[in-house]
Amino acid sequence: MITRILPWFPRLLLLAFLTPVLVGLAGTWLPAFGWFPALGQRSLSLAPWIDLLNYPGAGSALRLSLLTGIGSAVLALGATLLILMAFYPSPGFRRLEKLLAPVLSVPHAAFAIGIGFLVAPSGWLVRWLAVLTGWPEYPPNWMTFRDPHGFSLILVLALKEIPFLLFMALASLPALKVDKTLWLGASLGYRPGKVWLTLIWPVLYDRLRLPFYAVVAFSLSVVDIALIAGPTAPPTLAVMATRLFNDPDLLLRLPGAAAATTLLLVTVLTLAVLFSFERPLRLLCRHLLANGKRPRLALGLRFWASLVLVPGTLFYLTSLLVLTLWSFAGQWRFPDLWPSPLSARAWSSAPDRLLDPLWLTLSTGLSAALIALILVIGALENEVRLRQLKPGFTAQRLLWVLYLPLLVPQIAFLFGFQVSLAWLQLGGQWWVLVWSHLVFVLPYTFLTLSGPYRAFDERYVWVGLSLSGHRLKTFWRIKLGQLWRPIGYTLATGFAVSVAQYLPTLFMGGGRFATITTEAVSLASGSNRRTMAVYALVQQLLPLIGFALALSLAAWRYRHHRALQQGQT
Amino acid sequence: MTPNHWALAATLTATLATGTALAETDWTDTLEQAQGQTVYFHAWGGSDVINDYLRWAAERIEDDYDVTLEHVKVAEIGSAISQILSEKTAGRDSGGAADLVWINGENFAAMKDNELLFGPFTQNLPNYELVDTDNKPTTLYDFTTPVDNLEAPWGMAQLVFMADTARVDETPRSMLDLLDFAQQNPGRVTYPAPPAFHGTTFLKQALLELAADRAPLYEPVDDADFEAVTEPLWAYLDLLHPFMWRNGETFTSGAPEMTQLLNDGEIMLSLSFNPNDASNAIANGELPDTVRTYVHDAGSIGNTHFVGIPYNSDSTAAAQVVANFLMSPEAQAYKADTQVWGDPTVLALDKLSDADRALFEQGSQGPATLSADELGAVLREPDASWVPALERAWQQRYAR
Repeated sequence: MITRILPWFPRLLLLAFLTPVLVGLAGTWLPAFGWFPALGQRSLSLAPWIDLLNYPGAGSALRLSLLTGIGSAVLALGATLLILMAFYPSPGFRRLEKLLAPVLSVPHAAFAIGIGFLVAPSGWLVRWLAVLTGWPEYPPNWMTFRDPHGFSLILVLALKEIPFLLFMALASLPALKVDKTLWLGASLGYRPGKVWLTLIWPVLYDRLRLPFYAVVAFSLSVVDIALIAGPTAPPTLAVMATRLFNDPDLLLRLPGAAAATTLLLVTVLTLAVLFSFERPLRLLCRHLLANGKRPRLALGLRFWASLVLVPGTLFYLTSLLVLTLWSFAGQWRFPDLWPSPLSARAWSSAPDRLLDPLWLTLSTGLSAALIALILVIGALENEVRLRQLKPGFTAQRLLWVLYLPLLVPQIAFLFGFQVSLAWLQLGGQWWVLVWSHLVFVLPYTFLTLSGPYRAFDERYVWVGLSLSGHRLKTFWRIKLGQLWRPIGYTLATGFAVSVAQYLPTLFMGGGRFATITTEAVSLASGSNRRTMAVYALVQQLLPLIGFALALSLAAWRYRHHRALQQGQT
Repeated sequence: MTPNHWALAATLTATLATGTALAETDWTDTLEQAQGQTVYFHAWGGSDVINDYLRWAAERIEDDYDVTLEHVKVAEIGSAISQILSEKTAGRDSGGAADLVWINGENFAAMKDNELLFGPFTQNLPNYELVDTDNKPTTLYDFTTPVDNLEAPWGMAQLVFMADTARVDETPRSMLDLLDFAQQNPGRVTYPAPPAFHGTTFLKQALLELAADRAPLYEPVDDADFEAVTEPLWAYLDLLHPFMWRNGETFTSGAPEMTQLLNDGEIMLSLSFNPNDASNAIANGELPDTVRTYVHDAGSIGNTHFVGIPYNSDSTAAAQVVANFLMSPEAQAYKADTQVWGDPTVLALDKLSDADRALFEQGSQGPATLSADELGAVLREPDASWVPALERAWQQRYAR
């Protein structure tokens, strides 16, 4: 019976998120080619594309998107490599590893606001300068944030992406046996830097490729961070597309659809170019590096890596501190370092406002995380079955499909999906909201769980089976029983991903669903930093509680099992 | 008076009486239909002051009319219109997601043109009679587009500037003064990038002040010599930009960001569409109490903001009840209080009963509130068609 159900899991999984993406893409392409009956546009043409080409600033917006998107992604990848080369594996790294999950759950918008308040000319850094030296009296007219070239946007994006790439790298590194490789290299007289570049990195990159591509796609099409940290005249193409979709001139939705489709094309092209560069780059590197030379000079790796790591960590910590300060601020003006007077007003009015959105966030997030978990465990169990049937089976193809929702810019399909939902009369239903979150929760659930799940030693199951003779019982008590920790962790990850969803929540519910995140984003369009800070902190707190619960539950569950207490997470 | 006249008068009175009675029964029907319905009100959710006001309104409406008001907090009203368009595309002419939208200007014009609005309905709302349509012509013409009872007036807006008097001795009295001010205080003046509507309004204000002849601005833009009419505006901005915040290379995203920058001391002047914004922000701690409001001598652009009902709403009765409540003396007086929101009323105070009028006098005024006299002349919005044309021309020049 179970073996008959299992093959359906991967299919269900595919259906669950390919349908919205594909239907949505088609629904965006039609208006991009002039089909928008609600506005009396019923002829297919290239006019929207020509309108987009003629739209002021469209070319610069595209250039800006490419620069910030690719720039930040490459920077983040380089920084990740540098940090790994310098510190992995070391005891300090284990500590860093524990910090990654909470850092990953920092909401984009809140992080961008925090950074802005640090580096802006009226920000904290300049305030320290002013307080310590008496200069400047008023904020200087510097271009340190929201500069027209997008440098501050690159900084924010790169800082946001490094933890994700590190997280994904850490999931693969244990299998690469870095310790032994470095030891082997050292015994042949090679320094760690060279061993990393020649032996470890090429293999690691193979495993990091998809996460890296997801980072590229994300940075090319991100809207919320670009709104806060990006330039305004012109903005990035993603912001421009959003603006066209919301313009009072309704017909601009057609070039808007063309802009969203352009983003998709640009993403695909960029990824194709990156992919085609990989082989030549690899050959070149091999040529340059595999020369048998054993340079004595130390590269100062740790120094350079610290230059990334220390300011990066400080950015995260201080942006959190600044948000907390703002949430308690009465008045807070330049050049004061601390708000004065303090006021709990923003917090005291919060419970009333927060209750409903909080409940929806929790119920949606938990449902999505749980459904995703069941689907993923089903799919992974099916893999186990297939591996038994066909030795040498790999699930590479499934992985690509899973990454699809992360590689396709959200703005390129959500508009179309909204139309199809209205057509199917499905908009505004809660389960549709859960479904739309599932599209993004599933890939992360799969990525988090597949490593530990595949690493599980099936021989435990065989022993369990031979002792109990009961398939389900063995599966439940032996396999899941031992995987409790990664499963809890996966649930927390899925929940965190659901909490962070903005555009899907907005589009699916026709605005009827207010989560902490949608409220936080609409408040970010206002002027009151206090309320904004309260929402951002709550938004940040929810995933944190999830991770803390996951960890402490596992500790409680294994309180009598010493061998499992230091289990991997 | 001849017997004939008497008869006529009697008939007239009778007709009028039946008319009123009819309207009353209509309204009673609407109230009855509305019971138990839910109204999803799509309105900008960026201000907790406004959000709290709507929560208060929701409680009052629940108590009095058994109608549930849900505030859908949008970052931009365009997203609500997109939603309605998506529904229309999908042929969903009933059961739409939005039941009430907060709109005006180009958004209203677009919804009206594309037949996305329910109504006319405001003539049926009892409180509509109290609206000051005589002295507030913008309640009838929204950016020159005839309202035609398709949206209910909610509040009045007028472009005002704010300055921190701790740093500014004399506030600019005109756009040309502003240029002088910017030259004396480089980097301390800016405006939001159009198409953010505060930015577009700044352009329109500048154009109204600088144009040799305002008449073409009140006709459709296609009838005017756009280059010639707008030439003084671009010449002015070319002079202003090099002295602006960030040398005019980047702009703010809207008035809310300007408020923050004013508080941070990065800029010395800000702007708002709500004359009481500064008082409200002071009460909130968002601005120091040295901030004051001012206007240019030539007067400033004023308009009205409204609520409209999407054509495919299933709760049109309840939506009308909400629109009517929002226009009531109670709701309008509470809204006008600067401690609450400070949004000026659309009602004619002389049409109100003494008790209702007293409600408006209870509210606090706030330190940065200008009297009606100080607010000066209200300039009418140019024709709605000028908005996209100005935005595009601006982008072509400064956002390429």
